[in-house]
Amino acid sequence: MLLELIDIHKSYKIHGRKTEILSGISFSAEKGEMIAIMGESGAGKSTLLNIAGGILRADSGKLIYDSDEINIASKKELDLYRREHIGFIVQDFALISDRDVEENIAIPLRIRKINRSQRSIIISQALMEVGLKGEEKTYPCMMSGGEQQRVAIARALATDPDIILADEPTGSLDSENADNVLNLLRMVCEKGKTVIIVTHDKEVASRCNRIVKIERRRRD
Amino acid sequence: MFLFNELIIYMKKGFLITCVIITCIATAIVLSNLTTLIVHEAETDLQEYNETYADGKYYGIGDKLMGDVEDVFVKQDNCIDILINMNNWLHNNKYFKYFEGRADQISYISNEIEGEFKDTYNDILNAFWLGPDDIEHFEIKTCEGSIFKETDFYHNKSLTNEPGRLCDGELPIVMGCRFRNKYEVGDTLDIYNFFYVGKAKIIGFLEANSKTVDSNGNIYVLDDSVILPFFTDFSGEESSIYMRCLFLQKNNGKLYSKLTAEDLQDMVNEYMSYLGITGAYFVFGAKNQWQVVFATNLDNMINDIGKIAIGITAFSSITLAIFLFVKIKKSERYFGIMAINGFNKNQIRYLVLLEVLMIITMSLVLGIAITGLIHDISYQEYDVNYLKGLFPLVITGIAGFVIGEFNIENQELSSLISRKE
Repeated sequence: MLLELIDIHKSYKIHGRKTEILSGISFSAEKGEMIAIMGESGAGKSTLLNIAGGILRADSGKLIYDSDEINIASKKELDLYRREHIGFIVQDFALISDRDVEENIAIPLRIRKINRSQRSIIISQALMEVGLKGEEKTYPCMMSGGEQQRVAIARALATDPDIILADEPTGSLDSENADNVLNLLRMVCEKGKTVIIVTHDKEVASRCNRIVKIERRRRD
Repeated sequence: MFLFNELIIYMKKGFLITCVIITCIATAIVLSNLTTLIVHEAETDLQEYNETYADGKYYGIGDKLMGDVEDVFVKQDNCIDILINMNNWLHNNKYFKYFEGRADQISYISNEIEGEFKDTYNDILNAFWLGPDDIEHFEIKTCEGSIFKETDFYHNKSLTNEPGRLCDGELPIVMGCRFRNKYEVGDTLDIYNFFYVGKAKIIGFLEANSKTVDSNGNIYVLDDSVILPFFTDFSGEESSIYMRCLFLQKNNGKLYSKLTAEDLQDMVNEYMSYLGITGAYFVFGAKNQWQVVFATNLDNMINDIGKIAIGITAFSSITLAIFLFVKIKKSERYFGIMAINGFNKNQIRYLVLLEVLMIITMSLVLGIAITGLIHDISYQEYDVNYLKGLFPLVITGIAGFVIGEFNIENQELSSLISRKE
């Protein structure tokens, strides 16, 4: 098992009142698996994804990566885990508009202190994989939604993570572009990466190996 | 290095406001330093005088008749009368004693260089113009020959000429004790000074370690000096430029009194007002001396500058705090993007706090540079206590750090990415 989340609890304070979003959720993902997480709005899909990605701390529970338990109370361990193993893709692409494609993809590489020449090789390889070779100097605003999402995928792949977490990756795209992005994620998955997609779209979910449904917890 | 590069990109957002904040903080630093430097100057001089003699205090009195102010003053028909009246007032005051003595230099023709005899050679000697009151008050005595008589202070016709032109008289001079092995009483020197050019006859030698106080408030040992009589009476044939320059010098002396510098300044202010030369003279160390340019006294000026500095500091702090608050809010999306790419909360914190640090560092550099510039172009010599300028920095810095830290601590990384740009 590459990733395991066991008995995850997470609550937020909303208007001064503690509201439990995830209540004892367990979830696991194998290497090379493509999983869809579905559920109605407010069920905690994105919360679960963020906890799996180490960007949000669970109140309790276990996060196990490749048989090693990550101490969820430790910011340092979570930061390291996120940096080393996770790639994120979000619905609105999360590209910085005043930086070109190359600079956007370079961000995670620069954070990881990869030198300029290596960066250049990695970026052109990532762009080639997503079919955007030659678009290094293009700004996001000059690209279509589908192209921007491909840039976001290239950025997520640049650091060679084992797990790609995608939060509604096709939510802003038309069906053709959505299809392209899903094909790309499938291709990534076939190369041995684990892809976890949060989606409302049954069509998207049907293209995954497994569907995990989260039900909204009844609140009194 | 990455963080530094990212900081530069991050600082480009709202760069204009950043520049305004830096300018404001730098101004507050300059003003804070300025209050320090003025007070510092006054207090230092006062202390030096107090240390000189225990009984009573010595205060320098100086004029601000320089540059354009002097040009306007000398164009007045009665400027010499004003100076003479001022001098008489200084000498005939029951609240203080006035001493004119001042250090100077003279050129003289020497016949000796490094032990070899030469025909003529111009050399420089320390000189001290001494008034009759200085001799009595500082108990200056000769060990050989005699000290000046009352008539030696009379600027007679034979000593009178246009400044810089040879006189046919003979000026009596007294030498410091160091010159005893070189000259004898009755020897003459050819001397050159703005106030006298011609022969000078040695009438005596001072006792070793004879002292007075110079116009800067330091004890002045006369052993190495040529003592010249500071004229008190005049033939009436002196040129106006001669009289003006001489009395400008004669009025830059020392007040000896048991009153405070401020009390003396009040008296000087009152008399200057009577003469129609408000602000022309100041008592060293007095905080109520009149500032012609700002039409206020020094004390008020320091208070006003201090208030302005505090006002600008408060404005800078509030502006910086609001600016950071708004900027962090507007940058949440950017922080979120950085977070999903591997940035952690500490790196976001460093980015924000480094910006604050950068702003206060740039303000400090700018503030010190401008203060240094003012210091350099100022005609007065003083030390600047730059520590006082740190006050605005500390206040604005704390405001910045608190707002930055408060904002970031309350952020959940996962929530940042969902913010709209």
